[in-house]
Amino acid sequence: MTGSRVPDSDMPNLPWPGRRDASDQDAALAAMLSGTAVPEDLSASLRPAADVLAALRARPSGDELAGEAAVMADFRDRVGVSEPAQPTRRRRPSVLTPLLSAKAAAIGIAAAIGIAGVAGAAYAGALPSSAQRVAHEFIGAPAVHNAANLGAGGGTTTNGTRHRRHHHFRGCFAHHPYPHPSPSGSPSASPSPSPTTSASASPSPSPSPSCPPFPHPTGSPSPRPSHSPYPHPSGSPYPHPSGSPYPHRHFRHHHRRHHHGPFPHPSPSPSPSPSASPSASA
Amino acid sequence: MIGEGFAEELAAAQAGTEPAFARLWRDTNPALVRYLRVIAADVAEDVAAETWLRVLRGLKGFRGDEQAWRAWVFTICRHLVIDERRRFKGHPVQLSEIPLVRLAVVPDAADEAIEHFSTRSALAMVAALPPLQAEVILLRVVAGLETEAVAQLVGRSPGAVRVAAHRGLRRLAQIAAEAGVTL
Repeated sequence: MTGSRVPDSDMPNLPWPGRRDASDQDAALAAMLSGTAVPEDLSASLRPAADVLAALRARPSGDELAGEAAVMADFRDRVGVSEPAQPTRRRRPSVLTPLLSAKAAAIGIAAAIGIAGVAGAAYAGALPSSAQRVAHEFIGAPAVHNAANLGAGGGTTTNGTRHRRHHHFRGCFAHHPYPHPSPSGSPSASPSPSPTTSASASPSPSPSPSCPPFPHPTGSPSPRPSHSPYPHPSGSPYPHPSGSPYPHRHFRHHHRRHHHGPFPHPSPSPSPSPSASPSASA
Repeated sequence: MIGEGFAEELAAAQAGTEPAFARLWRDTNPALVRYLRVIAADVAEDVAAETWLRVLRGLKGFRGDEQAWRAWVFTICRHLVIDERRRFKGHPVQLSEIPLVRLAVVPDAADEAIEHFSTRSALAMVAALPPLQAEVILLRVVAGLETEAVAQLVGRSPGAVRVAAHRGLRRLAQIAAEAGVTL
């Protein structure tokens, strides 16, 4: 210690030798670790470490490269491509094409079966009325009323009761020249056949036993004579179990049946009056 | 280290070219085996093989340069070693807790005749270091990773890695001097 009277300039600004050595040594160690260059002035104490590091970086020996075949086999299995990419791309359509053609064939067969089934149903008259009308227009299937007649015996549709009813009045349509429009146009809810038809069917020699010879209620021209060509044994021209000369249901069904018939009604009266019939027949 | 052609080699390997992957393997596997022979000598070969299986699984998705490639491979390897040790010990362990394998420091006569200082002897000396110092030196010198990559791999700060490496080198110099190794 020189005391406080010594000027600062007299104290030499000497570097700290230990600190400088440490920083130099750190730089040398960093260079050794990075492997870029070993300092020329490396201290003797660090030279053995430099030799060890050089040995660690030595060329690989044979045992360190063993197992390459196994790893390459795994590489071929997982990543490697044994063929060029182009044939792989070609293979893809060859796999897809049969699948697509099989799908297309299956779809085509299903569509053909469906169309055939619909067409068959249309010709059998088993389609709903709207569909039957469309089928009639496009593929010449029977019209709705004809289809109803065709499908009467089958009863395969939901309106099977109507089919049965039409079966009873099919002959009426064939022989009655004057179809009458129904006043309401609604179908009858009665599922049972009219007793009139069964009553008139047995004794009558009419070619259509289910159809009694109705004269036109309005007295319009008729190809039939006013007298009944089929005399009834009881004398009454219209036998009816209920006593009514005009079976209501029969008449209503009969006219509803011909709602879309080809013959327009000659009279503006939509429904016949029961009282008019005896006079007309008389 | 492959150097400038690494990106092309990696791209070719990812596209399925076998020779390109073989070059990557020949460049990386010796360092991997040396690393494993110090930190897990008893399972070195098995862990190396499993490491390459994992590498193959993720090869197509890997993106990065050569430093990142090596860091990725050694990270897989290190995790496998930890898993291996955990399986035997039954609880999670840090790699630095694992005692390093003590290899023979003095090489045999044949090796000494061929080489003054063999790689095997060098690995044995590194194995004599404390685990963290040994691992840091191996990752810096053998794997060729930068300080930051090593720090990320071992879960330490870059400063701690630097200090551990310097202390390990000084200790390694002492061990080599005691073993009579001179240039």
